[in-house]
Amino acid sequence: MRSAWSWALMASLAGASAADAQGKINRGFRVDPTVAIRIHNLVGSTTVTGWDHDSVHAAGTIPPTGGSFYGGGAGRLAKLGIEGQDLGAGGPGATLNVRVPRGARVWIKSAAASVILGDLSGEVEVASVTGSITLQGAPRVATLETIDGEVTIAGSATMVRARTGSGAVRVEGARGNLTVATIQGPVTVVTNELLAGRIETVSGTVEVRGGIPPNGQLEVETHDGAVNLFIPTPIDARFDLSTVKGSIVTRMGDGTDQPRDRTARFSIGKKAGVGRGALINVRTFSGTIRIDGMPAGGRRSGT
Amino acid sequence: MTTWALPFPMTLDPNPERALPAGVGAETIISDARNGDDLAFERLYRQHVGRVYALALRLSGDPADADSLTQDVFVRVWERLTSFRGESAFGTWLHRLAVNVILSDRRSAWRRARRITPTGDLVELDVAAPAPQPGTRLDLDAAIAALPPGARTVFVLHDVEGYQHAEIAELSGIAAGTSKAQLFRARRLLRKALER
Amino acid sequence: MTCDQVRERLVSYPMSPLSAEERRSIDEHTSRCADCRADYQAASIVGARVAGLDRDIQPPSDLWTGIAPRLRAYRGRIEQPLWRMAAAAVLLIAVSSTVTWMLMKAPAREARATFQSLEADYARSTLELTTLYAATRSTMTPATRAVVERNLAVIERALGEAREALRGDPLNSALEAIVATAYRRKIEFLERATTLDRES
Repeated sequence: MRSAWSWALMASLAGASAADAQGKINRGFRVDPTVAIRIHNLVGSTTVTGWDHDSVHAAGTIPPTGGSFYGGGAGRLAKLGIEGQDLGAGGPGATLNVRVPRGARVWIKSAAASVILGDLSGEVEVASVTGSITLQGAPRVATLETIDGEVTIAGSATMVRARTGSGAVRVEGARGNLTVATIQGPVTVVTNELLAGRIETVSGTVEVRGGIPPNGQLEVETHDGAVNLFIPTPIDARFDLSTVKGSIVTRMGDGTDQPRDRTARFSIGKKAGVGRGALINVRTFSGTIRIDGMPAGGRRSGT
Repeated sequence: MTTWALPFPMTLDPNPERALPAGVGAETIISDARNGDDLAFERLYRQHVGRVYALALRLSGDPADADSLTQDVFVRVWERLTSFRGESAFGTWLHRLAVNVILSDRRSAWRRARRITPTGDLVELDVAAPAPQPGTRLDLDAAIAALPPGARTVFVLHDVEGYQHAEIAELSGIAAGTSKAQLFRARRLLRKALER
Repeated sequence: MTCDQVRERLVSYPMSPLSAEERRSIDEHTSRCADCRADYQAASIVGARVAGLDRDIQPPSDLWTGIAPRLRAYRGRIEQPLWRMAAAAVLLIAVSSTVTWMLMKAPAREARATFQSLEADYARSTLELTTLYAATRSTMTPATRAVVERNLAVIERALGEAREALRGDPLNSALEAIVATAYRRKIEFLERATTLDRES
């Protein structure tokens, strides 16, 4: 049974010119503002940017080493990309620049192609292998997955899930809901509005800088990755820290290192003392845990 | 569906197996099921699925997950039935096992969180809990589903299902004090959502 | 009443209604304390709505059809040669939930025996998943394969350390949870690795 999507694609592909087979890409078609669009480019670079038109436009170039462009759609469904790429051939790969309606739901498939996303307010998902992923702007939901590539998130997506193997994950201005999982990739999060954060890694280092609001929570779990939290003071927070073989050191308030037992539960701030305040929970097997208070006004001296 | 001629008036029940025929004790059903009787186990299933489904639905916040979690729970019950020794009511034992299964499954929530369902070439992004439109009043279940997972777990187990904080702490691996803090956070967030 | 006392009382409110004296004390305190007032109001408003919730909800479709075959499969799993992702997933839940279940007050000796038998089941199941992965990896590009295996090695090392620690302290429930987490990561990663191909 043909899906509605297939008919739409066939209709819009009718009349595709031979020039699409190689060389320059220049194709556009009208779509709904909440179109669900799938973009496929395995090698090279893919840039997707939102705009205020009810249409999709793709531009770019395909190198002579191979691949051909396809694209089409109408209404709420669209699909475009480069097919027939030879992943083992080497070379720069195809460059694909796509404009989509801001509220579109975007799904991007890559292998080695880098992916850059901006000015989107709908939902995005990226699946890659070694390609890097860069997200800017404020999509409502972002799910970014790569194995070896790096993930960089700037802006203020409301719900972000990022997953890598050995790639680094860097999040600036995290707010709302954040979930990060790596195998050995280091994780760096800078925030001041994180409502619910979960960071999980086997061997990556985890660094979180910034405040968790009183109704927020942060969970960090590593095997042997070191965990460093730099928390601005004053803060209202309850800490629940534990490690099996690692060490826990805190430095809050009086500026001296305070070594702790392998399990440390304590509150800081008046609200936290009566059970209110942010919840900060860190568990490791052998990773060291370090909590540093940063007095308001900048970095802790000596950093 | 076959309709049976009833010897006496009954209210319409979509799952007539839920009501035990007179004379068949609950203990018989449980021991039959423990001995591998599929039919007896199905009876247990029909008796308890409503409670388990409600729990799965509220803890996961998602109807699609609730279906598969409910099934996982009953498979687990079947596997663990030999270890039920009647030291508590069966329903209580089952409910606690259900909480265990559902909370453990949370830890592989990543795969469910993606929930891309490619059907052939058609790909639709399907994401839970979209931000509610300002001005619409949420019902309580929708508000519970939108809570952050830690707060939702504690709220559902404590205020809806009646577990104590010590039990909740044991079941979900958090400190009892954290459990209380999550409860108050959940209530505040829910109130805000309900009065939006 | 202090804030601590008010909060303690509000934990079970409104399921356990306030006596006249408790209400007087709480009203007096919350007239002065905005935080406790917010908690009191939230408990009242939300509690009233909770009372109307159904604790018994029939699933919209009959889930038994998805359960019955798995009951039979459980009985036949020992002889089952083919890897099935469902079996691995069920086993994962079995490992994790048994770990959590053992945090409950089960006799220590039985707990250890149960966990060891599930470890054996787990080893058998990941062997099947690893076999599938071996079939898949021959279709990967060398670069992808190297990337996947580098990460897998990190997971394996962590799993080994966790299991070694548990062997030395077999009744430690926190360690059991850590081992279960390590197993879960391995299964998730192998699942991802075996579906990379399908995604392209």
